Amino acid sequence: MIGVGLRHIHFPYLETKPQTTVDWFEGITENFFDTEGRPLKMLEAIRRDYPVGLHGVSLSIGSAEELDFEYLKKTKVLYERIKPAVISDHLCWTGHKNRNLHNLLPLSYNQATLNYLVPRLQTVQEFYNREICIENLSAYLDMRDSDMTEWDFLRELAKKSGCKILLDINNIYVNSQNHQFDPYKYLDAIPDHLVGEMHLAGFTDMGDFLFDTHSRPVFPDVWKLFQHKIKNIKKTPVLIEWDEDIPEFSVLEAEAQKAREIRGPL
Amino acid sequence: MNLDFQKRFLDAITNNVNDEALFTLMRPVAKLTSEKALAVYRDDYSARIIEALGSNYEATWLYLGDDDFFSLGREYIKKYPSHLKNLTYYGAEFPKFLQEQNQAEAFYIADFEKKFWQLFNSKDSVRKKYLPAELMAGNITFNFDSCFLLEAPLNINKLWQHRAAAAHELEDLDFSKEVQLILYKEEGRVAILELTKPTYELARLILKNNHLPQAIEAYCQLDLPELTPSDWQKLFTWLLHS
Repeated sequence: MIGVGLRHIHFPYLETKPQTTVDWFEGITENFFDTEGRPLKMLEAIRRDYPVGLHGVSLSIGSAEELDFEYLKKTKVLYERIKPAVISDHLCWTGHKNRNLHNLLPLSYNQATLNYLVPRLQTVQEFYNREICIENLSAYLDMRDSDMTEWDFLRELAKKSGCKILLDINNIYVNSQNHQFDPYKYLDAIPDHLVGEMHLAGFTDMGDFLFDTHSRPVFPDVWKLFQHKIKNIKKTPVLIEWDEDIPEFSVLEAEAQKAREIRGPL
Repeated sequence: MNLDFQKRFLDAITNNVNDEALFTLMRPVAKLTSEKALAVYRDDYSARIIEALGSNYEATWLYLGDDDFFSLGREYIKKYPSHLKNLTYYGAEFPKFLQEQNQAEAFYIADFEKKFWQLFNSKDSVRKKYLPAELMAGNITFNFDSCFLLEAPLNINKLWQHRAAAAHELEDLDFSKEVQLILYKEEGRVAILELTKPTYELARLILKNNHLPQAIEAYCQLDLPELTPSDWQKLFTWLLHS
């Protein structure tokens, strides 16, 4: 399944029920909180015709504060209403109760963090009564007390908590350039059976570093990484993300088609 | 989990300070220094939150212009950091904040935009449609949960309609006209009706009395002109959906 992000800017086009070549859509979970208006109606309309995934940005699994059960309840209500094919969030923290930075902030990759996150993820999955996919992020700093690689940490987290991994290939590439590691080593270290979903997106070269902007087509080296990983897990849902300077829907469809061609027949 | 690091990080981003103790806990990557790495997150936070404010208050932004909007926006963000899970709703206090900053006209525009988005996100209720004669009989209770009456000393509706225009396209447009508006939800969309002053007064009385004949009776006691057929048509357009 090759899908694209469901974004507000495409609502008028999608309302005309066009013949699309995409297999599924993914919405940002929090965009459908506290609304009974058009966004939710659009999501429900899309859900009637396509499988839908819900991708969260505010679970904040790595926050030093307690899990926010009000947030979990709202999310669960939405899941029960939409019945998404896949649910996901990020390996990060985003803020505390009184301040949310609305950004995906990095964690220390060590045993202590693993011991902290595993029961939290298990609680979340028990609460939802389903498996969640956790996504690797782009980070512009490392924690000095990290003593594991990101890929070892992510793999151990998935093995111990029972979650799946949302492998963002663009983030792996961006981090490989910024943090200086071999992205193929990362991909090969993640067992195929732990991958629940894959994301593809574009980044911006800021000169001093690569920035994960989701504002460009997928970079050629990212396509190569995708080709390397998808070959043995062709049935994994794949998503084209584009969140800034969002182009016409046909551009997203073309990116999805490229992903389909690289993946090859199922 | 490192609570101390997270608190320091939040302070460094939202209060725009560099914290040496924080730098001992993190390591920058690529060609970045610690200060620059922190600035990546600080700039991103600022951009995301201003963008959210800007998309909720597009017409206010247009009216104030980039410099004033960004300057007021930065002050607002400092005073009201986001604690929301969904940034889409950021800026609920912005109209009140503009009023406190003596931005009287911008307040009216922002208040309109806040109410527009409130209606946009409200539930569509299934309503029975009545005939005008049934409304006039006075035995119908209206549901005014999803409607707002607004009066402003400048044409906020015209500003709203042109909110996506480039600044130079606005040069010949006149926004100085005082307006009376009603906003309500109609078949999933937010409807905006511009009313005449007498129609607005009658609409206000209808909202107060929730009874059409009583409102008309109260209106007749005021020294106001009679409503024209066009006024009545607009009033019934709204009432038939309320």
